[in-house]
Amino acid sequence: MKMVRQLIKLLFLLLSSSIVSSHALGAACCGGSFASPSLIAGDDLAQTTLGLLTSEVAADVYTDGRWRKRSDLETHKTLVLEAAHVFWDRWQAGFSLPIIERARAKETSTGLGDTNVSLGYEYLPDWTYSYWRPKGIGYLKLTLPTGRSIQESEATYALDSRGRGFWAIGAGTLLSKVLGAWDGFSNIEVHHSFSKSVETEDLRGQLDPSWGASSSVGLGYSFKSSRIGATFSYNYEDPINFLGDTDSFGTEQASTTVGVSFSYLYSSSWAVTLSYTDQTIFGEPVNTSLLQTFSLRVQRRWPR
Amino acid sequence: MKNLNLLVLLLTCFTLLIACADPEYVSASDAADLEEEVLTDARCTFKFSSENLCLRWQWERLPTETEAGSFIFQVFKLDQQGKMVLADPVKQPTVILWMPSMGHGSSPVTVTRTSIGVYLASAVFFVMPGEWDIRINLDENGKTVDQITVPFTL
Repeated sequence: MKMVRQLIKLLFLLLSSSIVSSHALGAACCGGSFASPSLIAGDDLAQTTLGLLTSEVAADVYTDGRWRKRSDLETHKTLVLEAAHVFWDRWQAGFSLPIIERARAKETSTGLGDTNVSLGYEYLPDWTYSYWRPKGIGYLKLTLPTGRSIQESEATYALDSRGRGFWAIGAGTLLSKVLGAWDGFSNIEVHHSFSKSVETEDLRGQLDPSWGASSSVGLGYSFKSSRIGATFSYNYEDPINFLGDTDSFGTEQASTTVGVSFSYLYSSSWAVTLSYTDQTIFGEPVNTSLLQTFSLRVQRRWPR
Repeated sequence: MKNLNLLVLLLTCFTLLIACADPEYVSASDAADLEEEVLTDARCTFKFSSENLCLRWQWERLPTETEAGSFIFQVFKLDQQGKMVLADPVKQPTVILWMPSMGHGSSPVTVTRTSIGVYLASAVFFVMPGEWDIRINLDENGKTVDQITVPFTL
């Protein structure tokens, strides 16, 4: 039984590093996303992850679902720092801080993206082994609009837009389970973004976003100190309306992201994950830009 | 364990089969048709109701993903003989590019009066492909009091 518990712990460590990779991605133009929260899915006290992501905008999707390939290259490089810490046994808090560089046609712009802070509670602990009961964490997440929104952009190609520009609050739950060498997780969240006033030289009025949601599932297989995994995420945002000199009613956005990852547990404290995500393969995206992303994440953990 | 492996494999194959994207791409001929339609439309179909003015416009240079374009618009009024004559609006004409589906605009457009009733809108640049509105406004004291909207797809 002790060996089984240790094996499960090892597999959870590998699973944790891969869950971090399953970010739901937002529209490339407008920066920001309501990414998966920075949570500790295993039994550790704390974890810190440093990630480097490189994305390319592969295509844009019109409101009627037609795709248009980009004729000029637009790339994003993101350095993201994520951390989480357990307190009061089953409670944990975390944050995610991205620095984003956008480049297009020899122009670049670098700066902070939207910051996320989260509060989680392990409502389904795995204190005793159960074949069917998953481990469950519920969480609240707050998005701070620290990245400039596209409405406030001053740069060519709006490259200085690195955030959605709205305060948002959300709630969700992460379920994870290990069975033998296989593991799986699912994450579902709903969030609401808050209106804001806009006043620029050309624009005076109120931007009115609404609700959004994302869901993701993942499956993995572990062998020795490694894990290969796949994730499938769906992201949806309600239309953004503008009320001002001229009212304008937006269109909802939707995209599907599929990802594959390889994780290696260097020690019980260190893990590295390579992953690739692609928004052009599955689903019927609408009113969004589609990204293809490579990422490398290094995670450090502290046991309880 | 063997059954679990088989079940996972079957589920994965099923998901792959039913969920693959099948996109319809915008073709180059779509863009060519739009250009032809805009350049041959000589009828005055846009009206500023607040000043009883009519507007006609055409591209001087079509914008692309990487280059700004420009267009000329002419403002007319009916004279006493019932003829359309070029006239300057009382209020200041401005141009704004707006992407209604995503709720944002683009870089500022420069409007220059070249002669009576004739204006050049330059630096017409769309920050991303998609469906846009070109809004030709009449502004008074910094507020838009009349507007003509022309849809444009990049």
